[in-house]
Amino acid sequence: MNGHVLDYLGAYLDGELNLHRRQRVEAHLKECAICRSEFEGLQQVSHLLQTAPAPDFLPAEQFTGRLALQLPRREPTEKPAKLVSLLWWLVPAVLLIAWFFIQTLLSVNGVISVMNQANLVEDTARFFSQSSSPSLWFSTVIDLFGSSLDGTQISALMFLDRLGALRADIFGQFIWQAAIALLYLTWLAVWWIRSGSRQIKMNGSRSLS
Amino acid sequence: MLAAQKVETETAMTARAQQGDREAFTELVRSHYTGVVNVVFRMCGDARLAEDAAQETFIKAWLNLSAFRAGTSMRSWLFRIGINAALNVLRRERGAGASLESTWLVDPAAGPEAVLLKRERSAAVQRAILSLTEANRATLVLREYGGLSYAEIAAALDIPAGTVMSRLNYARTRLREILTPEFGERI
Repeated sequence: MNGHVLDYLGAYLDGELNLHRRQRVEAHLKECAICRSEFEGLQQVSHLLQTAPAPDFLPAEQFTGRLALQLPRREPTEKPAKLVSLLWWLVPAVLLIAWFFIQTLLSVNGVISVMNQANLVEDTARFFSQSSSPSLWFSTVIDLFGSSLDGTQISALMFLDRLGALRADIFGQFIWQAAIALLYLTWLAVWWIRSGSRQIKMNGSRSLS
Repeated sequence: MLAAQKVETETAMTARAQQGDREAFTELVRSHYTGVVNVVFRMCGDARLAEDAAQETFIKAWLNLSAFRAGTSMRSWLFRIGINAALNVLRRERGAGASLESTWLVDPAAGPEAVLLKRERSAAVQRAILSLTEANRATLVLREYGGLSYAEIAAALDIPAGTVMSRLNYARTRLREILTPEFGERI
């Protein structure tokens, strides 16, 4: 090592040098009287600092006893508040996802119904298509009076059956979407009321300071 | 093994204290009191102020325990709060016009010569430490009295590790310059 190692002596004393640098400092200290003298000086300062007596402080037991009386009441931990905050933002996200899911399901169902009626798909698609299977009242009427009905009457009954299924589909879709929209609007209203009251609180605290 | 058990116990106690358990917090105070009071004493140079600063440290720690991150060092965290509390107490005291040297040097129960010599040496060391700038003093105190590594000091004071090294070099060189005339060849 050509130059002195004065800048590294403190870190060497504290055991903070990596192996490579430590070995270089040790090798240099064997050869260099100036750095060695400086290092001894640092050791003595450190020794003096650590052996300088400290005054007698309060014993730990006495201190903790006194401190226990001074500890103020602490607000409850923030964890539940964080959970509430997370849930707060989770609600609209879940509602939107639910709406998207139901909307997709109904659209797919409608497409499959049309395809089924046009005989474009096999019976496996009937699982998704409620409107293609006859309703209970239609099956019962056909079982009981099927033999006494002519073709026109059966067609009329089939038309009524389809119309009923369509109405049920439309009604079901309406109920689902209205429920989701209602929940979303409720969340929006609560959010608006909460943010309004927070704003009032903030304005109030500003005016106090 | 024992050290690992101690860390585990401290982690559990910290978690309980974070939930508001005062008993668990008192246990934490008991185990860190000596370290904290020593560090704050070296920062402010007065036993009474050090006890006040230690109390302030633990009260602040109690109030901000939710900000303590699990997996980090409780000791370093307390020292960081302690350094600030000691400086606050010191500023308040200086603002009130009190003389810290007199509070340190006046001893109504002056004992035998050896005791006096020790006290004199201790007072001289403390005066030398107090002559350092706050930043250099905090770095030196955390190393010499807190026993923190350079990485822990860097984290506690929010400075780069290289700055820790240069501050320590400066502080030790300065102390050597101050203390050599007082202690002659003893240093």
